[in-house]
Amino acid sequence: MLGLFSGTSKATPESEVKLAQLYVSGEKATYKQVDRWINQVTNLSVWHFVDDIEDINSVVHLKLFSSLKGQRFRGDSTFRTYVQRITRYTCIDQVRSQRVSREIEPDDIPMPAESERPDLLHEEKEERRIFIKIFRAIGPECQRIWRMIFSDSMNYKEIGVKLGMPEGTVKRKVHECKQLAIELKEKLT
Amino acid sequence: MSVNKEMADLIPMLVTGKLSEAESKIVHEQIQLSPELQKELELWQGIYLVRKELPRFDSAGHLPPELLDRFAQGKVNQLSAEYGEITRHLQGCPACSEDVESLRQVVRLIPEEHVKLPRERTEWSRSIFGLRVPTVRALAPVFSFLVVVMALYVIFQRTGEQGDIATVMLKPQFEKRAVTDSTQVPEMQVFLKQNTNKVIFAFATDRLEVPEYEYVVNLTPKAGLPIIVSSAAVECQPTQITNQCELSVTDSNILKQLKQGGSFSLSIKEQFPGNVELEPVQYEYYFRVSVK
Repeated sequence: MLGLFSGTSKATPESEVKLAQLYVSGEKATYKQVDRWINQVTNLSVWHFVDDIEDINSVVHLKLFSSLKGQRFRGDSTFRTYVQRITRYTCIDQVRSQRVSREIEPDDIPMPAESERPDLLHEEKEERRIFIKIFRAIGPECQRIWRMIFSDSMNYKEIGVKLGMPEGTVKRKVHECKQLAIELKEKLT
Repeated sequence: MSVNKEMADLIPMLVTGKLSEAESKIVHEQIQLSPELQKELELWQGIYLVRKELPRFDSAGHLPPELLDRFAQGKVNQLSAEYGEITRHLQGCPACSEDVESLRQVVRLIPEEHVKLPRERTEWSRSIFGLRVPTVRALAPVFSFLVVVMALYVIFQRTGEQGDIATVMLKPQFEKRAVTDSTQVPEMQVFLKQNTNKVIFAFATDRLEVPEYEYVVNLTPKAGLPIIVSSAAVECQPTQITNQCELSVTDSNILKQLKQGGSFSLSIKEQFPGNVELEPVQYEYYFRVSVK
């Protein structure tokens, strides 16, 4: 196994795909190695101004998981390069989201009752963080559709018209995104 | 479609309040009866909870990170329309320009790794023409010398003739702008037979072949007017280092002109679509035709 991580062993498509499979199966050593690869990128001083950089690690893992489940990695590059590519993209996403400042309407934030327990508040906060991570990891197509449903309050027909696809296709995509979100949530909880 | 599936599709609309009162009532009733639908409701409510955060992740109007990453690594073909679109966007978008710089720094510090070639190629490379690679390596200087001698022979002495087809290896001499006095330029020797019915001018270029790009080709006798050769006759194949292009001439009028013998210049100028901001290169080849 260590040979798979060793810099002296030559990478082949087969060996890299095998490494990816070990990661998806949850093998601990592989998971730790992937974490190290992610940190190599996120620890660079280039991102020193980025908030919540530690959150990026978990988002990258989620993106990696959903990408590998969709069998999008075929060993064309080393697994390390694949991981670090996704990390770079995620860092850029985070940089971009920081640039956009969104004023949150106070009325829209559910304010806790005075008697509400701190542990419940903490739980709700954690739940919100989990859903933000899911949203970031889900992929641009799902993000776009969810944004149309939840921010723009569009129904399936309206979304279909905007995206140029039948209503049935929109429903199917929403279903697929939901299934992925469920898997990602299970990974996080 | 099962009832549950239909209900599941309606839950996101329920959460956003897009259902009528009657529809909402039906969906709520079904949710009460189904733990599966209850879970769906919790999921969508959770996503709805972060709806105010959603616009932060809206990258509409910016280039996707994947594209910026490829661009930062120089992996976008500089002659492609895509490259032109990217550079135009970057000129007007400081945010994306900043992102490209960040990515450049990152890949400089942590470059990407490559995988070994597929097994089939590896096996082939272990044996070249039946010889083991170490043997080939040992004989490489000899092979190289022979290749150079043959190339010089072909370029300067003879055309490769395959029946009625003449192949002329054009040695890159000058780019047009470097030539100040064409009368002083040394000429290559090209030999044609009277029954030659096709001439292939082979040349190398460091530009990559892109279908939208064309060449303007002119064949000019020393004391005559330029003859326009169709750019459709130029075909290029990419190799590891440069593009190997071939200009095939089968037009009988042009061949007739060539077979009159004498000195010619062949100019091949790149032509790009209007939205590409690149300086086109023009190659000039000078040769003297002798006919047997």
